[in-house]
This record gives sequence, structure tokens and C-alpha cells, in this order.
Amino acid sequence: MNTEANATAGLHASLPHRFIVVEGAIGVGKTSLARRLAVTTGAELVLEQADENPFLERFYRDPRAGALPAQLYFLFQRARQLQALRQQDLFAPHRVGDYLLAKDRLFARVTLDDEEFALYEQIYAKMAVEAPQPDLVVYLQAPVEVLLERIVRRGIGYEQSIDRDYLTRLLEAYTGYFHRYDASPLLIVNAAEIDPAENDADFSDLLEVIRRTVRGRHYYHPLRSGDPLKALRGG
Amino acid sequence: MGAVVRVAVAALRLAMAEFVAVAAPVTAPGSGWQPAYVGLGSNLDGPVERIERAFAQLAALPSTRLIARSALWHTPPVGPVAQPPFINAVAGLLTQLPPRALLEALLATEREQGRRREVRWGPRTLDLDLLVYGASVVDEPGLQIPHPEMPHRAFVLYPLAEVAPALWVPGHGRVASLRAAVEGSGLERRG
Repeated sequence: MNTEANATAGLHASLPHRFIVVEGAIGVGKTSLARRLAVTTGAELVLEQADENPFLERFYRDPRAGALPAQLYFLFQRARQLQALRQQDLFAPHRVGDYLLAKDRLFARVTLDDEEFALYEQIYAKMAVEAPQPDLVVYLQAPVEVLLERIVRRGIGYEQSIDRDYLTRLLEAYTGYFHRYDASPLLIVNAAEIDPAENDADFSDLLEVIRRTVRGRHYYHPLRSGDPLKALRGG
Repeated sequence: MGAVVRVAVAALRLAMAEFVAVAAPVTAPGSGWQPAYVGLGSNLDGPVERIERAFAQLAALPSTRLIARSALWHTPPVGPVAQPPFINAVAGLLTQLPPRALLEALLATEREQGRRREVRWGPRTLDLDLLVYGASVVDEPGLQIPHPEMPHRAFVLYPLAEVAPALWVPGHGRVASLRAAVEGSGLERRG
């Protein structure tokens, strides 16, 4: 990456990060948060286009039979989008995204059986996708009950058949993944009790924590009252 | 195992066919949503209702989402013509429309609300100004981005700072700093 471009971007930045990714399980509110971050900071927003996946509905209807085409569609779609981003990287504006490419493999491990996953892995390796590296990942966490409630509340038709077991396994996969994650600075946010996409105070507290998180791994357990930075513990 | 592989291969073929079919999606690959900020102003014929209606119209634009809206700010009128105070506000959008298409959509909305442009600085039913569009700098006939007068206008910067305090206005600086540099007395925030 071009250091001069970086230096200029740094000077002009309202946040020190050029590329922030918000991650988390279905229903935790990552896309809403990513949208609000983009508008508040003037960053371009890169969203995955789950509702364009023609196999997704079939997958939710019949997870066993519908998983492989849904996974492969996502893999191609995400790879194409991220690779295009990388090609524009040099003069890129600031960006906010709502997924990591790693998410694709994480879901594949949960949804596919062993033979399918082996096939998926071969395709994944062949594609050799070079995704742009975020300089901060904000990982939103919430318990299964909270996710289920939020999924019902937002009412996307095909999501309504998501069951507790599937969500529990996804959550475990996310937890395991971020437990080992060290590819970029990481902010793990307990989002069970806050709603930063809708609540102004929750959002500005979180924004301040994001602004200060430029390296390492941090946990943010927002307290309903008090200084949010007191709840920020470095790792 | 054999059966599973056959099913998998069939599914893969299906996925590949679909992949080819969507290889030219509506939006270019990697083209994201651009943050765009629109200034709203009105001082005629029920200005508050007009602004509210304009917010609803912005929310209904194609390939566009209304993400944030400022409070309504009451502003003393500027210029030689005696007229009622202005109501101003700012909308924070995410859009996949290019700048020119977004501008055309704003002009169409203005026309729909019956804007008349006879008197410069005079009373107006509805003003929609495209203030900032991502990191873009555009200087074309009829389209200048960022809006050339916005860095000096308190009635734009105060509501804009509510919607996007951390926004960097290309060529000018951070919104919070721009706001700090303008005189805002006379402006009145109304929820």
C-alpha cells in the first residue's frame, strides 16, 4: 500500500481507520451499525448482498439440501466484491463493511457436511481471493435469545425459520474464530443491552471507543451509565 | 460418498450457472453505498410540513436509504426581501445513485413541491442542496460538490454536524471544525 496515500488519508481522517469491518452473528445489528458509522464519518459503505442470493430461501427451507449452492453463491459474490475493492485500494476513500471474507468459510463449516465442506475448501483454495485487510474489526456479540428476538423484530421473511440450534452453532463458530483472530485490531462489543444503530447515546459512546481502538484486542462492555471508556479494557 | 459427490457436483453446476447469470449485476462489483448529505430549506406555505414531506421523499428515492436526519433549525432570513424565517435541516443518505442522478432526483422533488425560482434570496417553497457526496469533488456546469457555499453557512453546518460530526468535507475540513468557525447566533434548534 502506498504510504503517501496513507499519510494523506490519515491527516484527513475523521477516524484513524481506513477500513472498518463490523462483524457478528445474524441479527446482532451489524449492518445497521455499519450504515450509521458510514453516514456519521463520511465513509463508503460496502455491504454483503444476502438478499440477492437466490439460494438463500431454499437453504432456510431445507438446510441440508440447500446449503451447498447457497454457500457457493455467497463465496463467489463476496470474493468478487472484495477483490474489486482491493483493486481500487490505492486511492480508496474510507470504508465501512459488514462482513469479513472469513465469515464465508465459518458459515460453510457450520452448514455443510464433511464431503461438501471438502469440496468447498478446494474451490476456496483455487480462487485465492485476496481480500483487503481491515484496520479494525468491530465484533458485536449477543446471546442467542437476543438474536432470536431481533430476528423476529426485523421480520425478514426468509430469516424467520432460523432455529435456535443453528444460531447456537453459528455463535460458537464466531466465538472460536474471534478467540484466535489476530489479523487486525479487534474490538469485541457486548451488544446485548445496547442498540447503537438506534440509540444516539449508545452510538456516540461506541464511536468514541472505536476512535481510540487502533491496535490490539479490546473488550467493550457498555454500562448503561458512566464513562464508556472505563469499560474499555485493553488486552 | 458417490451419491453425495454427484449431488454436490449438480449443486455446484447450478451455482456456477447462477454465478454466470449474475456476473453483470445491476451495481458494479465492489461499488458500495456512498454517503451523501442533502440540505433542506423552506420558508413558505407550511415549511415544517414541507421539510417533513421532503424527508419522506428522500427516503423513497431509488437505490437510496435515509439513514440520519437532523433536527429542524429555525433561521432568520437572509437577503433584501421581507419574508418569514427559514426552516433548515440536513439528511444523511446512503446511495448507489451517481452524483448527477441524485441531483436530478433532488430537483424533481423540488419541482414536485412547486418551487419557484424567480427571486434569488427570495421566499422559496423547498430548497434541496446536494452538500457532500462521499469523497467526491465535482465541478461541472450545474453541479458543484462539495456545495461551494456550505462551508460558510451556519444553517447548513449546524444540522450537518448533528448528522455527520466526523465527516471530512473534501477541500474544507471536518464538519465539527467548520461549524466552530461560523457564527450561529440567531439559529434556533427545534427538535
